[in-house]
Amino acid sequence: MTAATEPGADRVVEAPPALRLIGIRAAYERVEVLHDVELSVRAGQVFALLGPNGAGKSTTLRVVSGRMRPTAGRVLVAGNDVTGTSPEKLARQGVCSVPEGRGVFPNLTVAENLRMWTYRGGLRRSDVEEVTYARFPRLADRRRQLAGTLSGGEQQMLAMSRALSTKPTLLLLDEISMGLAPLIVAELYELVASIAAEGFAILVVEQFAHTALQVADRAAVMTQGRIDMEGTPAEIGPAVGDLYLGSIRAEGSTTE
Amino acid sequence: MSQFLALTVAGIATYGCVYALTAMGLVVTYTTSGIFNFAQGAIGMIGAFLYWELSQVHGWPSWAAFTVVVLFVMPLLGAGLERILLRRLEHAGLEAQLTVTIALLLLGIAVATAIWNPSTARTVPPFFAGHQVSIGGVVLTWHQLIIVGASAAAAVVLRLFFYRTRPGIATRAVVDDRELTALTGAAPARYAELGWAMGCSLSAVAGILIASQINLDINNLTLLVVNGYAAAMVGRLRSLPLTFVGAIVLGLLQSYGVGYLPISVLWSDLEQVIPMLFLLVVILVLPQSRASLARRVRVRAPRVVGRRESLVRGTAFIGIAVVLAFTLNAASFSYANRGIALAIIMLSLTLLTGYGGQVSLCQLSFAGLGAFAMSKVGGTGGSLLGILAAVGLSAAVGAVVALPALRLRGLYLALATLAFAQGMDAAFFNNIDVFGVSLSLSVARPHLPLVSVTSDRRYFAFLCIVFTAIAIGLLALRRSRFGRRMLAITDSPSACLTLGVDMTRSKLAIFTLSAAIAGLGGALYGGAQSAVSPNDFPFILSLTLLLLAVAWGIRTTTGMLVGGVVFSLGSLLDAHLTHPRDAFALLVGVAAIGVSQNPEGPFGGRTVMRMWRDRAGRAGSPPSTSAEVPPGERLTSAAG
Repeated sequence: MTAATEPGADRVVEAPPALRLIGIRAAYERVEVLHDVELSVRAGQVFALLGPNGAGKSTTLRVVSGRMRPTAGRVLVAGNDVTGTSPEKLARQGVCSVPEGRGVFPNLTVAENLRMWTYRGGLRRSDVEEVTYARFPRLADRRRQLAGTLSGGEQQMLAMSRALSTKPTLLLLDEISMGLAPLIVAELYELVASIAAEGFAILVVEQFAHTALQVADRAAVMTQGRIDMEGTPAEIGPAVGDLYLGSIRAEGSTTE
Repeated sequence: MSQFLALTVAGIATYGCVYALTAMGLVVTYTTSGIFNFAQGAIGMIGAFLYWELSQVHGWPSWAAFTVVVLFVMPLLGAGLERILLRRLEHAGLEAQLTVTIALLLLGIAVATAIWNPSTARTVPPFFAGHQVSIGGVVLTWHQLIIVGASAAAAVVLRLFFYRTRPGIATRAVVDDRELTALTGAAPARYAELGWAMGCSLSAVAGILIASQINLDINNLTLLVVNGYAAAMVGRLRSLPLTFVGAIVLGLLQSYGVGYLPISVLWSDLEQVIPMLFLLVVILVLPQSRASLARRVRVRAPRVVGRRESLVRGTAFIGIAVVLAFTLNAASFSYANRGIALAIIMLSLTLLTGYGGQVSLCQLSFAGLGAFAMSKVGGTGGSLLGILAAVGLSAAVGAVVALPALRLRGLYLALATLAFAQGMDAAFFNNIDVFGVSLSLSVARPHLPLVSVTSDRRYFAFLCIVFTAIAIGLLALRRSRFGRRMLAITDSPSACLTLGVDMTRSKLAIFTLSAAIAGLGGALYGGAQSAVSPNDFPFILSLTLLLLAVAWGIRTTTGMLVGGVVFSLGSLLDAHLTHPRDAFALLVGVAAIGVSQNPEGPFGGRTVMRMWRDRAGRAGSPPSTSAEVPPGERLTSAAG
């Protein structure tokens, strides 16, 4: 992991980044909520997108996962322009998006949820089950149970099992710590780190910066639909609090 | 005992299993697309007629005809309908969704009537005619065995499909979380299409199987399968096993009812009444809290016309009406008067459905009650007491019907009012104790104290004035504190609860007032054609009324005026065309497409007047805001 943190800057030329956003603008009705967002996540990298409520983090994820069409700009996944591609097509191409607070189907059993993961393409049911149950034996015990009756932590594990078993080129995680006990959050982020170690690119959106910055290789802070600051966790960490409180300081730091 | 056994067999094998097939189809379409398919019966009817056409006219072997209809034509039809009409309605209001399937129902009947002349008798021979088995002294035909077998097989296959196959699991996943389904790589739209394909196929099986047991008749088949609604409600439109049980119970009840109950005058048509009573009981008894559907509805309430504008427009309309009253040729008044009277009845929908958010499918039943009261109390002189009685009677019945409305919501209320309307058809309107042996009542035009309005021309002006007065009154009501409360209740019942809004009283008031308007309209409608018969108020016309109301914009009073006149002109066109119902079919089809593309109707966003003004004053006057800000975007802004 530390290996991935440091050489980040000099690996740029090797291959196209797993995700690149160029000049993304997006609007709900007539209200523009993303103003010219630029972002780039390389394979094997954990990128933490931080920011207060309503900053546009989740909207950015909606654009990347194809659930929302940007009004301007381009989305590149592994160098291919995928702007405007439907979410299901993107998912089959390897963009795995775990939406906030509901990464599982509550009225399907655990086993049925796992079967849904096979829509990623080229996956067999047994592969998914094998990978998942080996990593989370607790889910194996509950395979006939409805996912909605699992505990919050178990549901999040089930959701993460999709990332684990479908080998995505790009993993998008939206507020996975939402409503979970700190111990479980720590466990989840360990999992995130280990998935990244396998070479996948991960874009993590979090309101609570501290946990995300511990596993991130790179981070950016977003307020009011703009990226205010981007850098290593060490650079971002101290500035986060001030950026959250007001963007005055942020503008100062970006224009430096 | 042997009668009991025979009735049991008939209840299960003839009715119950057919209901089960169609009800399961209903559940499948509803769960996959979120749209309740009123046209389920009509689609089954079309399937049965196609089967008849292929097997009896073109001489195909019955298995081939069956396969082609059930496995190819109907699934394609279902998928096509979903893709063309219904997909856009995912977030539309309930009344728009219902209206489009209601339009399909009417369109199905109209198309079938145009192709297959209803006066020709047609029969579909049962499968393996002549073969039968005797089990414990009860004779079962092979056809009945096939019905039982087909419904059981359908139940098992559906169960396996939904729980054992990946597309089936994905279909349930769409119901659970549409967005997440897309994110896993399964295309949600495909599963709604699949659901509609399966639903149409199932109803065709039901239609074909029942067609040989009863006559191959368009209305019979369409309405028989309506009974599937009741069974589907037992499973709360979700559970397939419960739906199956409900269907069998309903079949048995119907069979025993017909076999054992004495044929009374009041319940002359038991076969129709039992399923409706069953539906009412099921809807009223089933717990509602869990049946309520939290669905995101994107409704843009149209701009509310201000007081001055509504007065100006109203006066202008009356002026035009007076001119028309003197200039139209005498023959047109029979249509014009009916049209305006219908428009008055439709205003009751603007209040109840447009503002109050409750969908009623029984407004013409109230209108019928109004006409009945006017006839009985108003007498030949058209005493104003008759008008009072019409308003009073329909308001009173409306209040009684509203009682379940206080706890029912959305679709369930609509189905309860449908049951009421169908019950009224069978027990009241077609009852010789009510409408006399001739099934016709003469209705006089009201006798006003100062000026006579009984001539056609004056009656036309009178109707226009009444319409305008009610329309202006409704708009004033909509702008009032009560109007804001109505919209708040529609918008978020739970928020209203926390604010301490008395929803019970408000809903009761809306329903009662709406019924009163319909009753008044009915009395005047009766006067317009000077007599009414049960054919004026069948429940199916209540559906048409709602369709036209929604198509022309149920939240606008102008829309109701146009809708009423169009309704009336539809019958004028029919009278001049060779194929009696072609014009009607065209009308309905256009309306359906209109609603699916623009659920708010043509007068919803911008009124006609506003459009003229915009066009005329594009240069000088203040720029049109309607292009920039959608009128009355949020309900709160309309209220403020």
